[in-house]
Amino acid sequence: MLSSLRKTVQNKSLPVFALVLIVSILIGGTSSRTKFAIARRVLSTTISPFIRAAETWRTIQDRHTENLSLKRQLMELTLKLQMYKQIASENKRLSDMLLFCSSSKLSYPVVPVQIVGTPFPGQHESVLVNAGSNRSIVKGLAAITAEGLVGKVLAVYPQSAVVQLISDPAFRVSVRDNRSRVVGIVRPMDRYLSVDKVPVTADVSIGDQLITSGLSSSFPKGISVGTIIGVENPPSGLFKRIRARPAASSATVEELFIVLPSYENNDTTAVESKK
Amino acid sequence: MIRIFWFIGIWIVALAQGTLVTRISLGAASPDFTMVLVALLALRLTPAETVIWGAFAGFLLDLFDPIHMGARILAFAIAAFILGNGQEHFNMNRPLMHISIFALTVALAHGLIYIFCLPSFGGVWEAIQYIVLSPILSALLLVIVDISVRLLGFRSAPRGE
Repeated sequence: MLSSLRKTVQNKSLPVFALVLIVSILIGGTSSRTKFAIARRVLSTTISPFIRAAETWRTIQDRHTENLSLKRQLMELTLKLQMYKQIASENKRLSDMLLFCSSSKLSYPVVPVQIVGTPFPGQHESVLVNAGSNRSIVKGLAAITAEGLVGKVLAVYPQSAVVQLISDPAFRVSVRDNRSRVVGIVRPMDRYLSVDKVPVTADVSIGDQLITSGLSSSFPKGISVGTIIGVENPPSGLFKRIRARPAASSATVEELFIVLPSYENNDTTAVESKK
Repeated sequence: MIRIFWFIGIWIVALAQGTLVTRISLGAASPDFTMVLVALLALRLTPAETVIWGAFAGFLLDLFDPIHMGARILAFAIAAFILGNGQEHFNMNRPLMHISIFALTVALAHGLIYIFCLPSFGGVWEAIQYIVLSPILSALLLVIVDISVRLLGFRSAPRGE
């Protein structure tokens, strides 16, 4: 113990330590805080890059965390917005359908159905709907929307049915000019409709409305089919060349009505005309 | 010449301790880099020199906390005195002994700083972090740094060199 103390005294650390002790007590005990103002200023100048680096690093970290959080929120909100838009669109369509059903336009019973897919992969001229013979649907019935005719029932299954759309090249329907009562046959042609078998002498003009003629037993009379947008009289030939714009877009339809024969009233939303 | 490097080293470490370490979260407690440097000095310088360098490091740290000026000078001088003279009384070449003495010394120094700067610190948990966890982390850091320094070829110089 004594030798240890001797060693400590010999290595001069004890007097140095005592000196430092006194200095530290003097610094801490007296009002020496202001005496080191210059030293602190030099220090603050020296350390400012360190502080800036630390702050920058922390800011980057915070921004990174915030960025990730905001990205996650944005993704969630985008998904929600898409969902709300879809709901709003569906709501509008269903409201339109309800309005159509409850309006005085309908004088025949209809079954509301929803398109659930296509009967064959890649086939877009026919659609599969979620009602079939269980809802009294039979082959050949008209498929309509609030805007007008979109197709006809091609095949019927117990729980579903295939609807041939008006854009199918094989689709044909008998129509009548709502103004002049001239009859013709409608078939799809590119993005429009062509009205065939209209004599060159017939009174048809641009803007006339085309409606189903009612000559077919499965298509009731008066369903809107399209509007005439072009009439040509060929130099040779017996029939006019007439182009029409479809009343309903079959490409964007999601819900539609199947028009039942007028004698069928069970399980339908038929609304009789107030007339 | 080598003392200039020690001087620069103390400056850099003290600045890093006073700026970066207090701002960057390293868990519940942060290691005391300055004290680790003082421990390395104690292995390479005389006890008297270690006390002077230790006090200087404490002074630099005190500049960051002018309200409690002198507290760290005292604590670091005491730590440097113990570590410097520890070479004379204990076999510091035994790693466990070295680490244990270092951890206890840091705990003592931090305890002193805590007493002097009591209003600056928070509650009991902060005291435990500063007086207990921080010395343990510092001791672990010393092991890593000491091994790294030895691997780089900087061995303990004979006393008085």
